[in-house]
Amino acid sequence: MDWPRAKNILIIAFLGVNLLLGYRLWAGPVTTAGSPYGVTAREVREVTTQLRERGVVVAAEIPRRAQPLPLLTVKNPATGAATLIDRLLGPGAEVHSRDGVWVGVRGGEAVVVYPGGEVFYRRLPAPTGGHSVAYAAGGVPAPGGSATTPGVTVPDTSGAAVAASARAVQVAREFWTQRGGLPSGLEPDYQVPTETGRYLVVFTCRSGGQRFFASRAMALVGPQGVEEAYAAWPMPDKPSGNPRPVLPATEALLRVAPLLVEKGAAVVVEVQQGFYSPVYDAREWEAVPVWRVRLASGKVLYVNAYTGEVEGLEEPYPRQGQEILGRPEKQGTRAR
Amino acid sequence: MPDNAEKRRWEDAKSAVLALLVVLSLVLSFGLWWSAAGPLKGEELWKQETPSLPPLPDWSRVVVPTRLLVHASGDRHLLFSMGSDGYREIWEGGCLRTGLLDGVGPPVTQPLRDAEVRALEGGMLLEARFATPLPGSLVARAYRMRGDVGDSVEALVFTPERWPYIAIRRAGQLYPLEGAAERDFRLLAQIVSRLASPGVMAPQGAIPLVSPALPEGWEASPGLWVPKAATVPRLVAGFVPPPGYGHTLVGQFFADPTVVRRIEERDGATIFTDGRSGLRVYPSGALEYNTPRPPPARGGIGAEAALSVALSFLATHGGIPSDMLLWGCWPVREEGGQAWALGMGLAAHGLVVLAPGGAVSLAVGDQGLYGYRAAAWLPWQETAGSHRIMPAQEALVRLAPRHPGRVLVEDMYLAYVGNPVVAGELRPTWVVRTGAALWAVDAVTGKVQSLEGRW
Repeated sequence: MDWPRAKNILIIAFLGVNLLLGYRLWAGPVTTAGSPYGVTAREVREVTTQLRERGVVVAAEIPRRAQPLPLLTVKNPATGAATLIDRLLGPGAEVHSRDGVWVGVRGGEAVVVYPGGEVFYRRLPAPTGGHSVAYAAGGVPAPGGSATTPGVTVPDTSGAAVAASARAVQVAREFWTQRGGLPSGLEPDYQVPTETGRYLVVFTCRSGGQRFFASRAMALVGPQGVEEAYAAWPMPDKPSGNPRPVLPATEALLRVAPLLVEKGAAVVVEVQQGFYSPVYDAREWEAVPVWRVRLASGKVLYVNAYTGEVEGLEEPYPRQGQEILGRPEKQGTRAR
Repeated sequence: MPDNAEKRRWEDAKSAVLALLVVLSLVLSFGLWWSAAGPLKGEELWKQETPSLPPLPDWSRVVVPTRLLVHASGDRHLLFSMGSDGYREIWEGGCLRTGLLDGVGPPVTQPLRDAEVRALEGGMLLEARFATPLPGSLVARAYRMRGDVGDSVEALVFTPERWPYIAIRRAGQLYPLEGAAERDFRLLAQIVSRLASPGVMAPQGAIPLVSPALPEGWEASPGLWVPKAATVPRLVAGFVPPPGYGHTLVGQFFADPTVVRRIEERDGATIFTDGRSGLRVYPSGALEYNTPRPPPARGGIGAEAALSVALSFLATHGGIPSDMLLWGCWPVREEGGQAWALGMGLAAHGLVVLAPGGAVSLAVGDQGLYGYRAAAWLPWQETAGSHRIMPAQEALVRLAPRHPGRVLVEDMYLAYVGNPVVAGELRPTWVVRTGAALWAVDAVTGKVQSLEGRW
């Protein structure tokens, strides 16, 4: 045996191994949850099977990567309620306020602004025989039906549906642009047809490569154009602290599976990482990394990516403003 | 051969390097395995780092009467406030050190008849009154009494002279405790007699008592006596939160501080939350902590266990000031089991310092503590001047419009009451207990507010 040669090979091999081990130690602990590689495809399949056995159908791609994230500092914009009403309704609106809630009415439209900066817009029903509204020309045809199998709603991907969906996004964007502009940083997020023949179009904010789900503008677009809209845009400021490992999406789904089942036949149509916090009437706060779990029912769950706790469970469309503006049609949505 | 020797040395060196690399790889592998265990979860951290509990105060220091009323012969009625020399001498020297309460009880089932009470009142009578009626189990444990002392104890009554009795006062009635008659009351009698004599009254901090005149339609519970007149020092909250005060508290209130985030309120308060529990830190330094109350597991908790939980919590969350006392303990009956709201007070110049619900207020269920509020006034400062308080009768007249109809005034005493979330003056106040209601009447301005907390 050629020992000198063998020793050379072993020295080189151990040197390589030690360098690799040393780098791993220097780079920090290896945890599945915290690693940018997240979980394996096999783990995803196993979790999907487990969830199905527990009554949760995952009709979405589960992200395998779980990006370590810090908290995100956010601030409320300084825009006053009166300014917001002016932007949305134009000057001359009849404005009154009570307990910090501002209501503006002009023509056939109304706006409610809450103390935290949440804005609700609604086109009021015409008293007699309809009325002219600036956006009436920009409507979209009612979404077509969608085939269903028990428990799962199959998205309508027909050409007409896709075109109508794209048109709804365009109408919503035009609405916000003409009414003072979309809050900065908002991008189209998703759009879903509703049971009442309208499209719910959602824009959310992107910051540092991740979406901040609390900063958003929504619009319900019908054949007559934008019928209702909602916006809240706490502004992402800066990361707070160092990035921390987060739970993988699979773990988050397993944690909330009992809640999903409790909410009825649960079909998950999207799982996405980002930041979330409720909208506070506060000066500044920290949003937490979450997994957003969108259900076929239109409901949206936000799961704390550090702890697995449910941070929020939202209806497809916020309801607060409806108390003041009047009860609209049912807001249920179908999976797109 | 020089070449062979050199080659051999070279090979030896390579062998040494190889051995070193093998050892190093083992060390690094172990280090990596150790670090790969990952960050500890909150529960594990809690298990590993639970500090040893600081010593808890003796219950007799916490479950403590706030006033000693002395009714001496010659129609002399005196009040000894806590902290005064007379109070210490009578309570600690005459009652506790002599072991008068050790092993007495339970109370007899029938209260004393009126004639018996009148006979007792003819002689020397010492009444140690709690600020609010306390569950008997707490009083019994604090003073090592025997048996079931009852649901609520307003006061412990001692008659050291003619008929040696110890009784509890409950709903105005006196219930003698079994086994008290054999106790040696002589030292207590001597102390009270000496302190009640006219010559030593003022230096010992005694204040004359009167039976208050009441508004029309109002009645007084037996044993209701109030200070005749008083002037009290002005007190101002003196706590100034240091920079970063809220952040220093996060480690105390959250098992895993690394997942805690903050919300800066417009009023200057900061909320810390991990998504389940929340800690609000007011600009004054006042705290409010809430955590979701899990469903009761055992159908409720007793008052004794609740106070134990509360004291342990206080001991590990800032400590228990030496002048902190239990002001009130009220059952909170909710579906599935009983919880308790405990209000702690502080002592200043012989008076209890309070806020609605207590200077420190805690809510305890059978799964542990689920609510905590604390005013931040310590250390308070005396400012120039003093307040002359309005007579008790005038305070009741101010209260009367808030309390229409027939009213039984069960207790009335002076206290300092502050705004729990604002650092300001602690107002001298008449505290009036009418049935289940607790009222605070500002003893200078006559402004009325409820003293009940919300849990």
